[in-house]
Amino acid sequence: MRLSHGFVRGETLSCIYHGWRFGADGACRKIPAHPALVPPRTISCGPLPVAECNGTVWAAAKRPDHEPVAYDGYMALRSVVIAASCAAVETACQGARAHGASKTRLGGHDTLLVMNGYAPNAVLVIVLVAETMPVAGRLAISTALEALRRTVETWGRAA
Amino acid sequence: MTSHAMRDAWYPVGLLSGLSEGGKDSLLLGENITVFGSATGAPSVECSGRTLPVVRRFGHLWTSLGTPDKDLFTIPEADHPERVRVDVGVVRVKCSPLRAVENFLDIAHFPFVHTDILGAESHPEVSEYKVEIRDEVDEVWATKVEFFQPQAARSAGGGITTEYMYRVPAPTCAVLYKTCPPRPGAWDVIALFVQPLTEDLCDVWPWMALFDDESALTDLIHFQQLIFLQDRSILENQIPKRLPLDPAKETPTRADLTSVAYRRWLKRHNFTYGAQLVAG
Repeated sequence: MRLSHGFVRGETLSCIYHGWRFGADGACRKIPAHPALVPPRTISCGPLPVAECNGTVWAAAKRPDHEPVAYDGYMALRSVVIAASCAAVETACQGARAHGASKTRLGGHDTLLVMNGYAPNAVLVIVLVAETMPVAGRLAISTALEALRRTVETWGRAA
Repeated sequence: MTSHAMRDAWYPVGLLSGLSEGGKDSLLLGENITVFGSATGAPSVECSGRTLPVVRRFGHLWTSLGTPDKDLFTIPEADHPERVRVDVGVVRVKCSPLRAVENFLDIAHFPFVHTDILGAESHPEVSEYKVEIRDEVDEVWATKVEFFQPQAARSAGGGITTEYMYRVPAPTCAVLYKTCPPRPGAWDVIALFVQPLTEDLCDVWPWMALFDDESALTDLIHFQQLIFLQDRSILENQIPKRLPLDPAKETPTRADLTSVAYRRWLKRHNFTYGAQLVAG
């Protein structure tokens, strides 16, 4: 079970299945079925180094010697998982590469897409928009992102 | 054609009350089967032109792709004339059939998955219980399982400490005996009959035999469906998809002894359809 299905309880991340709680160092702090038990140090969920930037959480297998690229004036609007390859998503949005992000027009506005193809057929896409973007613009971008997802996934089924 | 020990076991393939004379296509262990009802009360199952053996029991039709070396198990307690026998229906789950059974044997998830129904976050403790593989009947049994439940059954008025017994009489079937709120001293019987469609897809047929002369049948079915749909969201997200039988792969605690015994028993019999033998 992925811990991303769980929830934050105090300073710990709680698994949705049996409520095991993990601290920021990855070590298991509590096994609710056995309240008197101090969890052995060997129970750990293997945490990754992370950094926050533009309202986005970045992770790396090993801590890199640089911080994530900051996109000045941009903020994260939302994320979406697209059941396709990274290449298919990039082809669909026809974006120009800009410091690791894909510069793309969505809903009539400039956006930056950052992507993580975490499985052969699954891409996490986070859309960054201008911090000054009014609500109507954000809604239009969000709707266009959904349309992009449907388009790419339809190609996948047709292929 | 697959060749493994699980071919010789019995599996549920439909409710006796819901069979169709024209036949209904289904799957069993990855093979195409057709389940036929009959106006004269003799339903049948076919697989590639072959007629398979059938048994009618617990409101369901059962069949086997191989040659079962023993009769389908019985649940003598369920025959009591005052019990309500409930055909809950079917829930399709994208998970290994063995994972569906193992989740049914687990009580430690109640406070987190069935919050404020079968468990409460304020009472998550699983006390010590007894687990054994009973060689004389070749079944896994867990007894003296006790757990605090806010609403143990449709018929329960408030929170009670419920006593449970679990029994695994077949590789994809589990029977649960639990404290019966309106009749102290008797056990409610709740069973999970799993039809393995493929190694990571199954049809789950829950079935109950309860002492409850107050609740409407619809409410009893809705209660069980609510519980099982909460389980489904967990089952469809488990990683790895197949049940690991390598003890090094997961970290069991004392609360998981039933699951440990179930996995050991599966491995002993080569019941590995839906299992993962090598850590991956």
